[in-house]
Amino acid sequence: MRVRRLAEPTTTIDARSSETAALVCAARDGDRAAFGALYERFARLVHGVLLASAQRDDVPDLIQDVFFRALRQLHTLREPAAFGGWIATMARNEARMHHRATKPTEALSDQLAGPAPAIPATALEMDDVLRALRALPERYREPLTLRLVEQMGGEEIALKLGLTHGTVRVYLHHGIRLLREQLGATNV
Amino acid sequence: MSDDYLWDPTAVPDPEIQRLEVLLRPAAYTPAPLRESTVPPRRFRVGVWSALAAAAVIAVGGVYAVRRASVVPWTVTAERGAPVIRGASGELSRGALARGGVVETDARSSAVLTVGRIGRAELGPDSRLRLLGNDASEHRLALERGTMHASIDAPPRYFLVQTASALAVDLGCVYTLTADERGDGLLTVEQGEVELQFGDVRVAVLAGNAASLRNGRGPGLPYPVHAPAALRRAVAAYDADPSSSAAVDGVLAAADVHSTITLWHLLQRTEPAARERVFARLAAIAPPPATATRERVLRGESGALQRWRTDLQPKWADEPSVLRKAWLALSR
Repeated sequence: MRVRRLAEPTTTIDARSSETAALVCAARDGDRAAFGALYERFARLVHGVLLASAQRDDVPDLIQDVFFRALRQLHTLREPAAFGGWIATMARNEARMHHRATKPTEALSDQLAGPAPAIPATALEMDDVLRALRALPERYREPLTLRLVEQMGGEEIALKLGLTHGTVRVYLHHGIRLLREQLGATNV
Repeated sequence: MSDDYLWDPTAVPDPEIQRLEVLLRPAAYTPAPLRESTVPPRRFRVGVWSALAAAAVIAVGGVYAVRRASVVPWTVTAERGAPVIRGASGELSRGALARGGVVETDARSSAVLTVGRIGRAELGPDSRLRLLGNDASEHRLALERGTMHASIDAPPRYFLVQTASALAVDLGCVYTLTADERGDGLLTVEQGEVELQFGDVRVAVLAGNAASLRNGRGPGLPYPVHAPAALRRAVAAYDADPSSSAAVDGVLAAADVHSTITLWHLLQRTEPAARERVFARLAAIAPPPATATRERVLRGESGALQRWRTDLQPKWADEPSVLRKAWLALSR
């Protein structure tokens, strides 16, 4: 008995996945321009993923390190269209290795304690918000950083991280509530 | 706070989120060129090939050594009895599981595996688990038979478990997977989400739901763990014979407002004639959003299906209580 699946129409998202796959294949064959195009296409994603875990000043160098590693391991990527999720994983690992010697940020529980307070109207600083973002559980902080800092929409986040729309929507929803709670609790 | 604007930056702005965006704007990515040192020149002079080849061997060796060093080895401890650990060549090992190696338990033994830095997996009696790979990009195992309970705290798609009938992709969660050598089994998710993959089929199993694995046919329909017996029987009948119109009707009759996860997945699997009935049932329980029109859904347009799923999914997960989560966190 075969499992049936509906045919999917060609969409912009599908086209973008196909373009990415073609660029990966070309880059594997040594095409520098193709790798440069992948960099242009995914540097913002990598920046957001790194920023969700690493200090802001370290991120520019870490981006270069991630793409350096990606270039050398491109042959290990099984599905070229999954480049986004693959390089995001590399970015997480790069941030993790970079900060291995430092004390990790204490993660918040992802359990919400009632309605979250409103974000205080007093002067919030960018670093306060970044710190609060980095304290969120990993599953929430990356989509939320990509949304709030990198200004990506939910669909783009889902496409690039290899998650479903529903999952990203739920992560954004819970993440923003936790962020409000965190910012309210620190009373900055 | 508006979720519409949180999802779609072109929607009507939410002032509170906008304030955060303005604050964070200086931290956003500023395009910068890829450094030359990152992308080496493509073409080299033939005269230096031998030197480059030697350098490449050293470099590859170095990268391999660094990569190996950066991967925390798996450790195995006996929880009960005497589980057997073997290396890739079949040699007996003690305490550590190497790539290609196997952990095997008998009826009187069980084992706990520490999964790098990302969590742990408990292997029940009469089970065999093989480590296929553990590098910087993923941890991949094969559950060849038996039961594995995993508690993973890792980025999505980092922890993968292959069975004979589906690949279980961790999206950050706690779950139990059972499988036999033929590929029949069951996935039950306690926390977070697991995606089951089989060919082009993707099945989302969220906390509080389960899905069967079927020999050579991939994952069955997901259903709530606490679903009434009538729905579980109907899902089992459909999984056994997906082409049966009566089986589809059985699921439709047993489904309710708590089992839209089952109906949404059924919508993608049925023939056009049955699909209309599934659409009608699901729409009666949870009307689709305006953009997911009947025509688009019946045509199987992924955008419309995903849009509907986005509305439904918050009701699919049944996360454990605070106490249960605390216990799970402590037990890691």
